[in-house]
Amino acid sequence: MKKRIFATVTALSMVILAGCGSSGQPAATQAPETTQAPQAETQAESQAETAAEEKTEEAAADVSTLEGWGAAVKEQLDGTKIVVSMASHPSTEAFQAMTDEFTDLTGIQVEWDVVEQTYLKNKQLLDFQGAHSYDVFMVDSFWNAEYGSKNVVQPLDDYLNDPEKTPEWYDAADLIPAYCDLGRYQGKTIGIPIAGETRFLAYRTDLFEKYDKKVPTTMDEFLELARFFNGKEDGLYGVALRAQRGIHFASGWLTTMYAFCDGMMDQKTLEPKIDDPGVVESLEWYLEMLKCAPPDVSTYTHEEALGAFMSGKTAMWLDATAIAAAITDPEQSAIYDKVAFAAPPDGPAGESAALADWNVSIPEGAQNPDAAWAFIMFMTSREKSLEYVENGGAATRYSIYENESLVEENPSFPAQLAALEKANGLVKRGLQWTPPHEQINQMLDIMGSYGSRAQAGEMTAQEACEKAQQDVLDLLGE
Amino acid sequence: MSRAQKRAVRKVVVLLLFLIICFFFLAPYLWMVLISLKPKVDIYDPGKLLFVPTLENYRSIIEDAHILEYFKNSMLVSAVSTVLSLVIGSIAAYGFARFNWKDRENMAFMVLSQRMLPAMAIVIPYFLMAMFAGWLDTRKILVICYMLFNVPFTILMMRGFFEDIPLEIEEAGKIDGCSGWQVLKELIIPLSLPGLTATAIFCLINSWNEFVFANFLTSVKAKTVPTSVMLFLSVSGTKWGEMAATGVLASLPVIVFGIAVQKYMIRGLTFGAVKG
Amino acid sequence: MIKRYFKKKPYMTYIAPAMALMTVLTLFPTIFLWLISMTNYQLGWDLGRVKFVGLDNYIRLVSGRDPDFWNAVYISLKFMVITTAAEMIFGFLIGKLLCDSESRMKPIVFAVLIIPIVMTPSIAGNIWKLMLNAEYGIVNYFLAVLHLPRVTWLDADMAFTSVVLADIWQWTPFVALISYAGVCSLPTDQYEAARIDGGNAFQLFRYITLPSLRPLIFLAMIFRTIDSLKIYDMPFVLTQGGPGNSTEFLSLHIYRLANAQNGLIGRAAANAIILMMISSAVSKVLTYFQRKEM
Repeated sequence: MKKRIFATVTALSMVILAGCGSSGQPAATQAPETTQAPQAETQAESQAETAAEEKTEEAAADVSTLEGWGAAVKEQLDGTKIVVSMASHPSTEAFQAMTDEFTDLTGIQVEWDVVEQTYLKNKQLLDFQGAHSYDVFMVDSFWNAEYGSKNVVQPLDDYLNDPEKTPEWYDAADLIPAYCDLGRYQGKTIGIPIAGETRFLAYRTDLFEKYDKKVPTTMDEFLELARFFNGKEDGLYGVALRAQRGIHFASGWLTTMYAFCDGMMDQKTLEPKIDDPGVVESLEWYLEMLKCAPPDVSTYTHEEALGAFMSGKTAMWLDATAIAAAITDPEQSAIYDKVAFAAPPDGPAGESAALADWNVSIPEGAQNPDAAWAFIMFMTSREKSLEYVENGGAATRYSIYENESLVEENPSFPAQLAALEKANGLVKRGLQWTPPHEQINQMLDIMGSYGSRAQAGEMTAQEACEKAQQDVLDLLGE
Repeated sequence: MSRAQKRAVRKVVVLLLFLIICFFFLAPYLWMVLISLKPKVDIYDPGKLLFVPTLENYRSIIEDAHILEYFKNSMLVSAVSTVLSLVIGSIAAYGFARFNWKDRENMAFMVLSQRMLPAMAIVIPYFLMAMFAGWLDTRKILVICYMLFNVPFTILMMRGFFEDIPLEIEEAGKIDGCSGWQVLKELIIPLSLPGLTATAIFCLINSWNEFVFANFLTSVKAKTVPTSVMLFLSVSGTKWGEMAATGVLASLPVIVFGIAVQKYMIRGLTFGAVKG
Repeated sequence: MIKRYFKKKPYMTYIAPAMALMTVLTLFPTIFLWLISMTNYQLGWDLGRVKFVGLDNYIRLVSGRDPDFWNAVYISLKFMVITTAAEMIFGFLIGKLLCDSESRMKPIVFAVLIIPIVMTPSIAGNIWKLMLNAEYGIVNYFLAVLHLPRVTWLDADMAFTSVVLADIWQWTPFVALISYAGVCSLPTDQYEAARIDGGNAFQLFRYITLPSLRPLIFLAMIFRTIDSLKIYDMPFVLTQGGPGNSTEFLSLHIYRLANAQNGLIGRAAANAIILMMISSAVSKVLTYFQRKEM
C-alpha cells in the first residue's frame, strides 16, 4: 500500500505543472496543456540550480545551516518587529507554535493579527490603502490575480534568486509545483505556498456498512447516496456542504462545477459564460445536493459544514483537505473512528478536483521586508516542514507526502493524493480551478448571491445563471 | 372576590410579569456568563447546567489573544472623545440655552440630524480621508469619529440641563462682577454636574460599543473591544467561550457603572425632558 | 469686525466651535461621499483608474440592475416599522407597569433593563447567534424540553424574525425607561378629576396620558426609527445579511458592496447617499409631527 502511494507521488511530481524553483520560468497559468514537457525540464533545471547554489554556499558558508543563517539574520535584524496578518487556519496555528523558536534564532519579534478569512481580505486591502501596518500577508489563492494586478503584494523573485536570502536548506524545489503556480501572477512569484488544499469526500464507514453502500464514483451516485441517507435515521442528513450566500456558496458550487462543464469562464479569452448549459446543470445538481443537507445549510460556511459532519449529523462531507485533520481528531470529532476518505466523484465532463492554497506574501509598503522574508524562509523551509506539519500545518511539500511515518499517522493522505490526481485531471483538460481573472472574487460573489437565491426558491437555476451572467457582464463593462 | 383578594391576585400577576420581563432581558446575559465559565467540551451541550466552572477562557483571551490591548484602546478612545465632546458640546449647549435667535430651533434640528447620520454611510468618506491623511489605524481618527455623534448628543442633553438652572443665579453672579465665562465656570458647571455625569455616561457607552468606524478604520494598533468578535471565528468553529469571556469583561464595567448611576441614566435617556 | 459680529450675535461665541467642528466632521464627508458616488472607484485602485460616471451608480440602483437594492429598502423600512412599533408598545407597557407598582422587585427590574442597553451590540449579536443555533442553541433546547417543534432560527424564513427579536430585546428597555420616567411624572390630579367626571380607562389614556406624553413618545420614536433604519452591528454578526438577501438591510447592502470581496466603493457610496436621504426624510417627517400642535 505504502509503496503505491510513493509511486503515486512520484508520478504526480512528473505530471503536475511547472516547478517552483527560482528559475523565473513563465508560469504555466495561461497554457496548461503544455505543462507536461517544460515541467520535467524545470525539475531537472532546479536540481542543477541546487547544485549551483551549493557552490555559492561554500563562499558564504555562514548561511548554509539554519543556525548559521539565524545568526546572520540576527546580526542584521535583531530586535526588529514584524506584524503578520493571517487567517485563522491550522497552518497559522502551526506557525504560531513555531514563533518562539524563530524569535530565539533570529531576534525578530512577531506580532500576530489573526482573523477569520472572510474578514482577512478586508483588513489587508484596507491596510494596503493607507496604514501599512503589516509585513506578512497570508493570501488565499483566489485573491492572487487581484492582489497582483493592484500591486498589493511584492514580487518575490529577487529574494528567491538570492542564495544569501534563500539558502540551500530551504529547498524550493521540494515545494509542489502546482501550488507554486497558484502563487504567480503574470510570470512573477508573489506568494509562497503554505497550505495546499484540494477537496475530497469524507463518509461514515459505519453507515455505509450498515446499509451496504459503496463509495460514490460518479456525481449521480453521490447524489443518490445523499438522498438515501437524508432522513434515514433520526437527525441524520445526507451531506454537509457550503451554502452561505456569496463567496461561500460560489466556492461550494465551484467544487463540483468542473465535473459537469469547463467552468463559468472561457479560460483562454477570460470571457464569462455563466449561462452555459453545463454551468446551469452543475448548479441544478448542487441545489439537489443541498436539499439533502441540514435545514440551516444556507448559513453554512466551511466551518459549519465541518462542524455538522464532525458532530455526526451528516453521512457525507465534501470539502477542503486542509481542514480534514479535525475529522479524525478525537478531541474535536464525535465520529473520528467511523470515517473514511475518498477522491471526489467524477461527472460527465471528466475528472476534476479543486486546487487551491494559501500563500504567504510580503505586502507592498511593508516596513520590514527583509525580516518578513526571514520569517517566510524559516516557517516554510524544508528544515522546518516536519515540525510544521506535526503542529497541524497543511502540506505543500513532496517530502511530507513521501514521509512514511506521516502517511501512517494520517489516514486521509492516500485520499488526498487521489484527489490531487483528479485535480491534475482538470489541469490536463486545460483548466485552472480558479480562473486567473482580476475580478474573479466579485464574479463569485455575484454567482454566490444568485445561487443562494435559487436555493431559497426565489428563482430556478437557469434564471440564476442568466442573471448572474448579466450582472457579471455589467460589472466587467464598468 | 373581595378587594383584598383582588389586590393579592394583582400583586401576584405583577410579580409574575416582572419575573418574565427579567428573564427575557437577563437570559442572554446570563447565558453569556455561563458560557464564559464552561469548559470547551460542554458548550455544545446546552442542557448541561452542572459543570466544573473554569477560568480558562479568561486566561486564554488575556494571555493568548492579548485582549487587554483592545481594552486599553477602547478606554483611551472613549475617554478622550468624551472629555472633548463634553467641553465643546457644553459650551454650545449653554449658547443654545441662554440666548434666543431667529434660527435657533432650525440649528438645533441640524445638530440632532447629525446624531442621526448612518455610520455605515459616512464611514466611506471617512475611510478615504483618513487614508489621504495617513491616519488609518490610529486612535486619533476614532476619537474624531466618535465626536461626530458625541458632540451633538452633549449639546442636546446639556441644553435641557442648562435651561433648568434659574437665570437669577447667573444674574446674581454678574452683579458680583463675574464675567460671562466666569459665571459659566464658577456657577453653572458646578450646578450642572449631575447633567454632565449623565451625558458622560452615554458618551462613554456609545463610544465603548461603537463597531462600524472601529471595524473599518483600524487594523492592528488601534483596534477596540467591539471588533474583537472577529478574533474568535476560526476554521474549527467559533470560539464561543473566549467570545463570551470578552463580552463579560467588556460589559461588566459599563453595567456596574450604569446601575450605579441609574437615576441619571433615565434622565439622560429622555434628554433631560423628565426630571428623574 | 469679527468682534462686532460676535457683539451682535453673542450666542455665536458659544456655539461657533461646536458648529465649526460639526461642519468639518459632516459637511465635508458628505460632499466627498457625493463625489465618490459619481465615480467607478474600486477598493485598491490607483487614482489613475478612477473615472467619472455621472449618475450611473444611482441609475443602476433604481433601475433594477442592482437586484438587491429594492429588497434592501423594503426590508429596512419593514424592519423599522415592526421593531419600532413592538418596542414602543412593550416598552410603554413595561414602563407603566413599573410606575404603577410598588413591588420590592422594582430596583432589580431597573438593573436588568439597563443590561441590554449597555451591552456591546456586536458581542450581544454573537450571543444571540449561539442561543438561536438550530442544533446546540439553548432556545431550541428549551423548545425541545417543552415538546415544541424545533425552529431553524437563522434560515431564510426565520432570519428576519430573529433579527427583529434580538433588536426588541436590546431596545425595548430603552423605551421602557423613557416611558417609566414619563408616566411617573404625570400629574395625578387630572386623572382624579377625569374619573369623577366618569371617564373610562380608554378615555383617560386617550385624552390625558397620550397628550402629556406626546413629546416623549415622539422622542423615543425618532430614536428608534432612525436607529433601526441604520441598524448594522446586530445583523452583521447574526446573519451577515443572509440567508439569500432576507436580512440584507441597507447598511448591510452598503457593506456588501464596499467590503473587500467586492470593493465597489463608488456604487456603495451612491447607496449610502440614498440611505442618508431616507433617514433624514423620516426624521424630518417625525419632527414635523412632533412640533405640530405643540
